[in-house]
Amino acid sequence: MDLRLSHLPTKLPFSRSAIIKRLKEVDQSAPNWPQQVELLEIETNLALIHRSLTEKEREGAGRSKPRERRLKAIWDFLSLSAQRFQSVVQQREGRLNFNVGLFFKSDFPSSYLSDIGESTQWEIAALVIAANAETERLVRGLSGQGADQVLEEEFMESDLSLHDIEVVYRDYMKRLAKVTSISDRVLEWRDAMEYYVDLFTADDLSAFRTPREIRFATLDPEVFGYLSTGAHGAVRDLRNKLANEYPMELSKSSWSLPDGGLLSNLLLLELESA
Amino acid sequence: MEPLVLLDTNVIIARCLDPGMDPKGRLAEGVLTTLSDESLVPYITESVRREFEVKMHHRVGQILDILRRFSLEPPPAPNREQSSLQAMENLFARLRSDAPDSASALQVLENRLVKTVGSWVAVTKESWGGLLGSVAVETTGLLAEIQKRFDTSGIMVIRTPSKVELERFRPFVPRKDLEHVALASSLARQRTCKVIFVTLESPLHAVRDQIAAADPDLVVTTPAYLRNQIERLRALPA
Repeated sequence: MDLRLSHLPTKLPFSRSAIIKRLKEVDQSAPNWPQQVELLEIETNLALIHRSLTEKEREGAGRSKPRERRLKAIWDFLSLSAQRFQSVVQQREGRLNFNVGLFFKSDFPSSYLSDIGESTQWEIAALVIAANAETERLVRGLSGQGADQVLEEEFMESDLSLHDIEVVYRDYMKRLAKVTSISDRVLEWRDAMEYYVDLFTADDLSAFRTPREIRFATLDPEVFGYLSTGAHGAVRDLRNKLANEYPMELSKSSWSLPDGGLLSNLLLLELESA
Repeated sequence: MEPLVLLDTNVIIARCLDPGMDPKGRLAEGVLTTLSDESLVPYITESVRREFEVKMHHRVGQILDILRRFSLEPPPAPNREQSSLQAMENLFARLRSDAPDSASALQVLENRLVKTVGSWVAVTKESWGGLLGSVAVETTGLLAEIQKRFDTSGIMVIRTPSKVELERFRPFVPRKDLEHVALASSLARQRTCKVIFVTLESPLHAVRDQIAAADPDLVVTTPAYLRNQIERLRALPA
């Protein structure tokens, strides 16, 4: 949260602690609060499993063999990670819908929604592409089979040594972190932009994070431009990372657009005017 | 002599089309195939990349603006005088006269909205609002899809040279192409090589002789002549 607020190049209109308190209240009264709680539980469990995977193994009476325990922990980690990614994507889609509502009620330049939408679409794509590709690499490295085909029993029969299992897992975490560190920056800039238009036009904190009409004239265009530039830079970095690191996966991925001819019409129109 | 090949904005827009869909899309696909066959990298200048991104953001922004305007209008619900589609037609006609600058964005949106509303039994405030919201989200996905097609096209962005001379070309090069042409010329000088600038645009191709007179190292061509130009320039003594 501090990182997101720190992108705002101007003094906050309310105290940081009051803003964070209000965000917590909003979260707790939101219709998706049960899903948020579930996400928190998933993240806590992921942290516990990750710790068990990175700390030194202790032998004990009645405990299964270290190799089996490691493999089981990795299997559980992957299952929970898949749930986490799904939940995060739903949350991002919800935020984008909130911003569409805000945009329709307000008179912001259209760049606001295209910036928010573009960064959301790319952040989601990065999560899905990187998570799928790295899970595939990890599962293939351990079991020799694809992530979609392998059963838990087959996965547990991996003949890699304990050391090699750890190497494959560490590589998975390292590679995934390289993408998520950039997608986190995209999220930070987008949040900063969202918070700027919302927070700096709220008469009091109870209006913050409520859908309402916002007049652009009450905002500073320079701050708006600064945040937009920051978001564009972060999205550019993320796009470059995906194109360099996952070119095949990116090529195959597609923003599934309904067959309304929107894409082809827009491109043909641009071509006529180019 | 190995030429440097630069693409115009219209070539990369056409490249984002599905090749089977439009003759220009096929031409752009052909450019990349030719360059791949000839082991040449397709490049664009920073100015072309910027123009491409600005154009796409601008058009997407126009569509989002129209959707917002629609959201402020009553839904095109059927009544005794008119069906939903007639109400839609009236709505589009009114916006066309109110906002003539947005004619292109309206054209893009029209099919999409008519198709959905035409399939509905009844239009309600909620369903209309939901449709506009989902098309807004879809539109931002459209922007990302076009960007993705560009990112995976194998087209590289070339570093801008420090010295760019616009004046030499200003009298005859269309204003929107001036920076691209001047940059292409600077690259030819900086790298001491011939530069081929590939465009789909007739006005720029029409002044190719004047451009060549101002800078003999810069060749403006269309996809139809690209392979021939590469062979010709390669045959020149170094």
